[in-house]
Amino acid sequence: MSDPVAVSAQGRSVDMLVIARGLTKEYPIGRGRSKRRFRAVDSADFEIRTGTTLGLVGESGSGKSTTAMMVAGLLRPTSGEILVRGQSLRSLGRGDLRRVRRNIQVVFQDPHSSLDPRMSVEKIISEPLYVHGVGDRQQRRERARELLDLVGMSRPYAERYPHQLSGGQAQRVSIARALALEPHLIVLDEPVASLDLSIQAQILNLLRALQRRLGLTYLFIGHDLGAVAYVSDTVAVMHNGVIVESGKVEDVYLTPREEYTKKLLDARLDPIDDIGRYNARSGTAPLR
Amino acid sequence: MPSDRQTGGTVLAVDNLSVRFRTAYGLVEAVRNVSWSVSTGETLVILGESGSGKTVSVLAVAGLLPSTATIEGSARFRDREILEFSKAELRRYRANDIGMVFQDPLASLNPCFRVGDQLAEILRVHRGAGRREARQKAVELIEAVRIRDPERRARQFPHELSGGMRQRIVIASAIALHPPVLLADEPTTALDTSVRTSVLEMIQDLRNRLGMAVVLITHDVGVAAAVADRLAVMYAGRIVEYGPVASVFGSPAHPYTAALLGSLPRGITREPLQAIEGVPPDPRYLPSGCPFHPRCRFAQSRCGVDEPARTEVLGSTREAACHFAEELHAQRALELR
Amino acid sequence: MTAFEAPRPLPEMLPAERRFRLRRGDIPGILAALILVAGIVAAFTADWWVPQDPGVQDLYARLAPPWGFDDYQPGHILGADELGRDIFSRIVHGGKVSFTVGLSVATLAGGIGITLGVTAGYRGGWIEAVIMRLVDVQTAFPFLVIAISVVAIVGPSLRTIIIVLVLWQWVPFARLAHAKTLTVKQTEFFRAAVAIGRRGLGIAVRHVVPNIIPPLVVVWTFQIARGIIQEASLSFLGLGVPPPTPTWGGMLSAGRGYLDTAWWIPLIPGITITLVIVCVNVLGDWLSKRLDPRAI
Repeated sequence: MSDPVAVSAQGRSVDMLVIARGLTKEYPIGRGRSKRRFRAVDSADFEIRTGTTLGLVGESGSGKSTTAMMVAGLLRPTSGEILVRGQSLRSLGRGDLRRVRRNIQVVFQDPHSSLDPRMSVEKIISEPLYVHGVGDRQQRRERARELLDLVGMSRPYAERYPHQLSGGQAQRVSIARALALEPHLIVLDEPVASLDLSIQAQILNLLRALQRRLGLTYLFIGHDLGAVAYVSDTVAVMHNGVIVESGKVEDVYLTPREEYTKKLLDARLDPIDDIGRYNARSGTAPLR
Repeated sequence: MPSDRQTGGTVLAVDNLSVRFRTAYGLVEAVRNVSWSVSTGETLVILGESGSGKTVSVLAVAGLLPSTATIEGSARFRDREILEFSKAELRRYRANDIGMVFQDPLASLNPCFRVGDQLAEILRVHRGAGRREARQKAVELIEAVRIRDPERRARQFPHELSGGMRQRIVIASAIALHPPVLLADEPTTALDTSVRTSVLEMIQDLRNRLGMAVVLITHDVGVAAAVADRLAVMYAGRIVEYGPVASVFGSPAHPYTAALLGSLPRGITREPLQAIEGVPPDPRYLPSGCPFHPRCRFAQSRCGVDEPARTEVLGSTREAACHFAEELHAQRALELR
Repeated sequence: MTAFEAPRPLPEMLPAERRFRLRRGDIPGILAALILVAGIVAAFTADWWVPQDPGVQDLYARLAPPWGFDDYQPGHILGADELGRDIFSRIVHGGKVSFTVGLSVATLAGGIGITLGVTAGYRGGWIEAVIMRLVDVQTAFPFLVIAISVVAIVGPSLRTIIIVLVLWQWVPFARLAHAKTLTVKQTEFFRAAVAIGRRGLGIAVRHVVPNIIPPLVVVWTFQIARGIIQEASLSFLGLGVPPPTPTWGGMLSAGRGYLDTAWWIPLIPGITITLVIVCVNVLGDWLSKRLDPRAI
């Protein structure tokens, strides 16, 4: 099923950046005797090849965000295994996990909520550098400005505060922050869902461009099938905590095998192809 | 108006409506010179992003704008001026003539009462129905919004229902008194994609069966395409394009509409998206002239100075607020590939 | 340039909002702040500028009324008390005690309360349970009764009063800090800080505290007012800072019997206390409006 992971002595040039096996997250619900367990994620298996994007789609409650948080190391799995560059996340203690996090960064959904309102843009972007002791103050300031260039924002923005940014700009800052430590993997949890339509394309283009330029690997969570397809190479469809179908984007979207996948794909609404789709005027009985 | 539709006369019409709010930053213009109308049996979709003012004109029609708002222009329900209603008339109008559905069903339903009782109460208060009759009608309403096992559901509380079902209940309460107009503000945005389908279908079905006019606000272009007869595209408080949905989307006459369509990922195309540069303007700091010109591919110097006439007519069914609408439309420069 | 290049820098920038713009609604707050600052400065520099010594008894001026009334005695603008001591001077000097108590108690209690509240909210578990139960227990006890008992046993002094009041005032700070910390923990920037690899203490100090400060500053100003009142209450009951130090509460108490004959003796300290409290409350209100929109 999976290729053997090729790990060199220094952990470079790994074939599969992320491997997840039997990933499960359970939550106990109910009290006392009748304690049942709710499975948010049930035995998920997937892989992400270095330099590519895996899109994780599903509706709300499908477990996709929970999965993302486990891959990001922010949530401990109940059982199962996550290997990032051959390194198992589960076996790590708090300190080691924090160190490994240098290589796994996260971009969250709500651009404004994910930026500390009391910090300037520059401080926000350079915080990861500060936390991990990279560079001195001057170098960090310079790097923050370089990152702003990278995400297409002009340098004067460094002194702004989050409430002075639009949604798209805030999300760019979020991305810049995620890039600060040059991570191997970036987990993006619905990064464009809260943005205006006219801005979404900007951010999606930016993400693609950065991936090309920097050789990044993405785990992209979303519920908008179009956006996910645009950024992803492979895709996995989740429903009630289970991955029901996965494969290359073209294969899954054009020849879906599972009923649920078909249902999701069918529910998409295209502005040209679906004109009038729900505008029938058949003769149904009038209501009293 | 296309003639094969079974639509009736105009039931709601907004004409040159402008709304300004007094804020701590001064006077902010939320909508400017907005005009649209909707007829019985028709669905008008108001499409816009956040900050476009799409909700404001509908709130004005529902008489729900706060007192800090200055309203100019006209909003008429069947030839009666809504903006001049007395308090009593407004209350009657809101109860009997329009039904409103908002985005968040949880906020619209009282968590303390069973849903059947909430529906029944509407009938008792506004129709003078007796208790048994009201209860009966409530169950029928629940059935009409396609919820199975309506008797049992009527006895449940809002939190026991799924999001989709709650929204259906809200819709049921909106149509309980058979209003001629249904106003829906992002009714499916908070719902899952699979549920969205059935709720949209149901709204349209109810429109047909009850002979209502529907005004639906959304930011989702796909939803707009699927349900609209006519479409009003809003940007920065103005209507930039207006007309039958097939022609607006098929051959846009305003650069914003075209840019919006071109920036959406469709199918599994890997073609780079034509992102619109810049950001939607802050209503407090609107650009001079045409509000879209800083982001417009076709902008000329004129666009930063003169605001395009409120609408320029392209034949009788289409309107677009752009200096170059006719030319761009003729050159088919704006059509999707 | 390929189609995949990152977009050009955005053409427009949102105008940077001016950080501090004075509006008409700010006037009461600023006025109150100025009055308080003037009062505090006046009180603490009293030794240098107040003409009369607060402790000197001028028996010729016993019960002398304020300026403008019959029997006014020169040198005593606000009149003199039953021992001939100048009321104006005693008010100003008395401010030292009131402001000292008010400010130091609020600040110390704030420091302790915020630390405990943030710790409880951040760590959770049994630490949170213990601290919050402590909060509940102390809320249930009537302050004045306890304060009276303690002071009566240990003996009144400035230090005792401060300690007793701090032991009671930390509670509102802790409660608010705890609740706000829980709110911050829900935000995405909190998770982002964890994702970056921040240590717990770093997150608490750099992310939690700055975001909960605004409402806590408001609480702080209101606690100053309370401290002043509580000190005045204790002084009124004879449990405050012992004579000869003038205190507003003490003057109120001593002046009780003269309400119909020499009304200025109790009334002037009463007005002073009221004025200070009103100013502090107006200031607190203004701060809450000013600071809140940007915080969580």
